[in-house]
Amino acid sequence: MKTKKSIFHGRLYLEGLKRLRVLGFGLLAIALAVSILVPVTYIITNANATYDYYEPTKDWLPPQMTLQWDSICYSTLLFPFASPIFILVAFSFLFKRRESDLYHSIPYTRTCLYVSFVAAAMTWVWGITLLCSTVSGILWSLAPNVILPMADLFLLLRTSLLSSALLCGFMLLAVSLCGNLATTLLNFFLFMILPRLTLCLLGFTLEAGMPLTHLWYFCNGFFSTAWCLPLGLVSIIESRVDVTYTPMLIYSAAAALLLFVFAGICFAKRRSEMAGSSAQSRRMQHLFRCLFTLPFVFFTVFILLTETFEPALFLVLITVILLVYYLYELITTKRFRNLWNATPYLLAVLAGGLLFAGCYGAIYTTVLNREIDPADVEEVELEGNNLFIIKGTFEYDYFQNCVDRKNPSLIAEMTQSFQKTKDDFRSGSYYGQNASIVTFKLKNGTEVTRMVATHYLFESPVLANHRLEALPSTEEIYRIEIYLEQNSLYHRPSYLLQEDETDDFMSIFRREYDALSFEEKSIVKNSLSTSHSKNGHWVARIYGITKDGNAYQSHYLFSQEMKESLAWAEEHVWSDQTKTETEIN
Amino acid sequence: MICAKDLTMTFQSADPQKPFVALDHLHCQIPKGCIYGLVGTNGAGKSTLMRLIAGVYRPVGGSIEIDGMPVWENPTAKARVMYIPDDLYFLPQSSLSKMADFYRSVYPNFSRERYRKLMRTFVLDEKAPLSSFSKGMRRQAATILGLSTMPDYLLFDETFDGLDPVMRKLVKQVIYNDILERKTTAIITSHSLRELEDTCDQLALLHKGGIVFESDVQNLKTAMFKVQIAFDHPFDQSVFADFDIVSYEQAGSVCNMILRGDREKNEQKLRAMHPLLCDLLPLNLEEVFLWETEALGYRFDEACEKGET
Repeated sequence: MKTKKSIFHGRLYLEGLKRLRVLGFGLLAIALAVSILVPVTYIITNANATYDYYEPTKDWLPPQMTLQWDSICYSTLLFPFASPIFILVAFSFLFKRRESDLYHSIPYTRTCLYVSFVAAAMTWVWGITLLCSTVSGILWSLAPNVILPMADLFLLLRTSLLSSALLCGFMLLAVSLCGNLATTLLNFFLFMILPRLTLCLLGFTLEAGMPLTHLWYFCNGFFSTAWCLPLGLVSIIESRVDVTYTPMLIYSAAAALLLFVFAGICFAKRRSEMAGSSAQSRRMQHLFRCLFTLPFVFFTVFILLTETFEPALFLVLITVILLVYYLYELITTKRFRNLWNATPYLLAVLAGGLLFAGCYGAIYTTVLNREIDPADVEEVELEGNNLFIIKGTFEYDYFQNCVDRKNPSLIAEMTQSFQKTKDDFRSGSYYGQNASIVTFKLKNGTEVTRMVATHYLFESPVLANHRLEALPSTEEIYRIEIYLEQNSLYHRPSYLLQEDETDDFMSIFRREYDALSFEEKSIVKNSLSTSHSKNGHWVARIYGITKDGNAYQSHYLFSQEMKESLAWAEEHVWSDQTKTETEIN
Repeated sequence: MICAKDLTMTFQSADPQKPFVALDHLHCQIPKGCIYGLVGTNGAGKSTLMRLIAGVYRPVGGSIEIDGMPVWENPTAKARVMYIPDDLYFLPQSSLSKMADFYRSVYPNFSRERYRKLMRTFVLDEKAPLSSFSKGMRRQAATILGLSTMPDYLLFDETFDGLDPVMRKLVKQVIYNDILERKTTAIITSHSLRELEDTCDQLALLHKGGIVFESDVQNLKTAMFKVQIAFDHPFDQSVFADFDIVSYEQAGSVCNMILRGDREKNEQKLRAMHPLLCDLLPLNLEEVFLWETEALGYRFDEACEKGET
């Protein structure tokens, strides 16, 4: 007889497909209905649409609508969230002793069983996604006056398939490590959120307790939901995050692959007699229960470290921790007797909380005690993310391109600003929200990144000079808008300069700006957004492209000293305003 | 041949330091082509041994081999074994024909012809959902499916439970035929010795994770017999010093003994003593087990009283 020590077997794969057929066809029907109904409804409602605002002439064509990528197929977008159910059903035999015995006695290796069943589940998940996308794509292509962006459809599909894989990976790990449904579901959510949640809570705690550190920004970047596709999908649905975000896709694909492999190893080593019990051993049960309680402990530590101590709140939080801890045991094992046995392991939970507080304390102390000697600094880098210099402005690009980062004066000023910020923090007068990120690149090759109070950066003459010394050149500008900031949001007279007027306006504006005092220049460049301008001031909004090809948008206030520029602006804005009103009348 | 060496299997208990020991350094050899009966109380380790032979469990210690091949994660060895558990499981909403499809897809030697033949023997509706079957009918269905996979080793865990006498006889007959035709080895577990008495070639008593007694059924039956003897003169046990006495009871001039050894030779020796009365009666398997295991220190009758045997 042929030895079947292969890692995949067609018969088992077909058996897996059959096992999932009820769920598969049920969800296929729902997903397909959504995929068909959305474009068909559009086609029906737009078939007899009349365009009242247009004169139906011979040459007139109805307006074309380009589909947004997230409107192409809702099933593709939402189906990943249903995909773990396929894994759960495919491997549900692991939860019942009788069923587990049957599948473990058949003449195949566990690896073969795992791979074949995973392949079957993924065939259903990916098959439904592909089918729904295709059907939806075909129907949209038949819809009148609709442009279907095929590239977006493929991007959506790629994102959806990867999201399904990642979610299925988490579920596979849960089914491989747990023995009953309740434990599997609880641990599925735990595995999905625990690492990210822990880091985010640490980030939150540091942001609140030690705002000099840059860790929160790191957390917010790498550990934000945009890095995890299933969570990213939620963000995408809510705020249209870019589906082509490459790091997110690579991270999700790598995480899914790792989870599939690791879950496979766990499955092969799983004791079949654990079917029906919560975990492979009591030790594992203790571990899962403690891990499940940890986020609540971390949150309590976060509150204790960052808020004023309130006994009532503390008691509530402790009660919640105990409830979660014992409820987990009760739900997963259904035995009251186990609650007593679980009690000593509360110490492990406490140790977890202490470790969290210890990490915070270590980072806190390290950051506060880190001294920077200007003589050790090779160069400094600034990332103005708020009040100092906004990213995407002319000033930001100008600063990044023109500033001499190795300038000893700049290094000394930055070191001093950092020291002052630290002193403020020690004395309790530091306000972290007005801070910029400064990176000190040391001569020994290491880097120290810290948050430095923005008002100290304003005091730096080198930075101020750099910030104020230049205005965009005419060649870089492609559009200027001038408008009057008034109290009414609905009536803000503005004027869009014609191409030939740019030179005119900018020569006057530049001449007057150069003649201004340091303080007056600061007023002009302080207008970082319209919300910061003063009522009644004229604001120039300049759109341009830097020499590096980056687009920018800068706002400048008209200082009272810039009389000629003001007059030019006033004349053009009001004349344009009058012209428009006359046309309306 | 199935060969278990130093086989140990434990399960987790509330105390991680003291796991429940289901099989404790068990040794046994089950020859090919025989019907091997396993008896023992609940928790003796019968089903655990079955699952280990079927490759469902991985032994914690020792080894279990089928014809020299380890069973664990060995599809070649597992393909030769069919395990029919005590607690039967069929796929949800399945019928017998659906289950046959499943077995055909996972067992390479599944014989459609044999399945048809067995379906003619047991009159079951193959299209009806198995959930509508009675316990006995489900057992029949499991037997049909198990035998259709054409295994070399058949493991029946409490198979005759729930079968009426007629059907029990039929199932036994089918198993015998399979053994005769294909030289299959069958391992049958039961709580009831009477059940196994007329079925098995070999019997083993499993107790607290170990085999406390193992013997050929025919030898077992003939190795012990009951004697009722009376003399016209006073006597005591010393008169029978040359005999291998397992039990001795005397009431006046009549005594009842359980003797071990060759029946004919013992009878000749007893007749030579010119008794007034000498009756040699055969023991049933349960009585032989009772005396043999009592000699080993295992109180089989206590288990009977508890209703476990």
